[in-house]
Amino acid sequence: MNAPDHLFRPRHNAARRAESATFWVFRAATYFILLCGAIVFLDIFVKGGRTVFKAEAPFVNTTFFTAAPESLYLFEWQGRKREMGDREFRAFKEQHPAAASVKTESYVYSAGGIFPCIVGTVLLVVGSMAIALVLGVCAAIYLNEYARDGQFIRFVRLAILNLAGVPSIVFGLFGFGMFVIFFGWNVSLLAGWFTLAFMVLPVVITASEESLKGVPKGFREGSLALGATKWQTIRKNVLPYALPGILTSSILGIARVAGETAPIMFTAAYVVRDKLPWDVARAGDFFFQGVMALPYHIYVVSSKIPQNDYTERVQYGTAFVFLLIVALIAASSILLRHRRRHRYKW
Amino acid sequence: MRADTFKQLTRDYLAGFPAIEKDLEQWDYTRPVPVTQAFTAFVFGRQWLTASFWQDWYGVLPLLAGSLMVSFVALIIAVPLGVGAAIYVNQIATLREQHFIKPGIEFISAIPSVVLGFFGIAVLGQALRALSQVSWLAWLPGFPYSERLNILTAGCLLALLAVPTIFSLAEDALNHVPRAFREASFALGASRLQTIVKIVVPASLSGIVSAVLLGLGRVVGETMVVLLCAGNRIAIPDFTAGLAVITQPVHTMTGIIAQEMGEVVRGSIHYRALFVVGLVLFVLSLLINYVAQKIVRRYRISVG
Repeated sequence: MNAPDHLFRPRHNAARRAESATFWVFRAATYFILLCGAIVFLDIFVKGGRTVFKAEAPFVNTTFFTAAPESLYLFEWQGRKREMGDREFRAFKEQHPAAASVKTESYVYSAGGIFPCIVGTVLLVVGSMAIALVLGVCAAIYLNEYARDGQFIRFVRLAILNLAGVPSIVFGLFGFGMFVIFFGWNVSLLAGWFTLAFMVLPVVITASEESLKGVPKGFREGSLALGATKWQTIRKNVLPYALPGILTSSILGIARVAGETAPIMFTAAYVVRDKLPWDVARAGDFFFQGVMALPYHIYVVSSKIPQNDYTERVQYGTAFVFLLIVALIAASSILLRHRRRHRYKW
Repeated sequence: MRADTFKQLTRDYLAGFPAIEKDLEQWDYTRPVPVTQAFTAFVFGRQWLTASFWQDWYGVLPLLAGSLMVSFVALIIAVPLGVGAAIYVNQIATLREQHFIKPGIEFISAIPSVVLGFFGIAVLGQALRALSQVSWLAWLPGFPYSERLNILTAGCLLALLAVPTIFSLAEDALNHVPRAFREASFALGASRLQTIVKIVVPASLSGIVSAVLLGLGRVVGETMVVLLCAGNRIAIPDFTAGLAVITQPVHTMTGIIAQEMGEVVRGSIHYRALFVVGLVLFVLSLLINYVAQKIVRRYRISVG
């Protein structure tokens, strides 16, 4: 014991031991949670990394990022085991006519890459966040700046609060009934955008209102005193100061939009689609086409094809890319929020 | 002896025919089914049977039971962990620990549910089954089992989803306990543990309970994890098995919508039944939200 012997030194007795034991239980619970999270991340990063990275020059598996999913064929040729993607296998059969009758095992989606899925996810996220931000910021401005407190406004606030807790599959069902069938948009980007936008609206509205509330009253009063109208005040003197806050909080919404599968299952996602989204005859068709999306692709490859060494590559690879994207968005949201806390001081 | 019984049973069976025939004659199949009967058949129906050869049944009970069982297992795991971690971070941890635990747990909430579901299929299902077949763990209820995907697998993964929600809301509630409460307790000579158990937790109990309820809402509404990992067997789990019930596969309300909505005929009864299941989910989530808000408002401690 190096500690000096004084009146307030910790005394060791039964009560103290019980206390520290209880604290250790709490500590164990906390670190157990972190451990579980770390196991999930590590498992996917390690096994997915084998697909995504490689040892030679570019170090990144470029076909995985630039090709579309294909079937994988396994066969024995001249005493050697071969594995080929669909297109390669067809070329091979033309070269060696004898190969046409060779016995093959095939796994769908297990060769090629996931480029169309990445494109689809990016399109879905960008479009739905644009819609959600426009609608959400407008709603928040109305609620915070114009609306008088009354029965109706209280009802709207209650609705927003409750909408945040509604399961995502219910939003998917709503989007399916409303946009896909009632509006006749079919399975399309537009339907997916609106469905996802409605899902994150509560997050965006709450975040926007919070940061509008953060702008001091003096800013508005000063502008009004100089003779500006209410709308001029909001546009020039309130929104510019609230906007950074709105955007940083909305990044959390982006992570949610990118991560959800259930709402796009029957509104926007296709299991497989040969054309890329910009291969359309008319510009208007762009909005009315379904796309492939990363989360839906993970669902398809993990539930519709068997688990083995060959299919594992595409499963873990897709999960790796998807988790990386979502984790990066979430991390930037957490970082920005922590940094912003000390930014403006009024 | 057995032949006699058989004869008797056959005779009884045949004797029942005239009554059935009379029923059939009176049955007017053009008459619509009364609303009340349709409602009770849905709410109390014990079978969800679609695209069958004879007759389809749309009873929500098997799905509701599945959803509730999975959520129950998830909460059993997530509540002690989430609330424990919240207490630890808020009351016990050093500032350094807080700075990496809080973002760490927030980070877990960013794992998309479909990735967790895939993890369940690829790793956790097998790992739990292997664990159940370890001989010295055989005394646990339901162990050993052979179904890889069941309530337990889905429950464990959902717990990981619910923990961040419960943690951050409970931590918020603990944060709102006024400093003066703790200081008064310390001034009276209470130890830290006594202060936590007797002062801080009771003072923030309403917030913690509503955090648990909102965690429940998150778990009940989760789709991809249960669709991938709950086993997807449409039947009411066999509760006579006692605690071993948690090793049975089930299907859930969210899972059935996700699974069957894609291939259903538009406008058919099946299609509408799926929308009603969605309505049940919607009402359930509103109810959970409402109760959570009510608890916070009703039992909030007043400082003054």
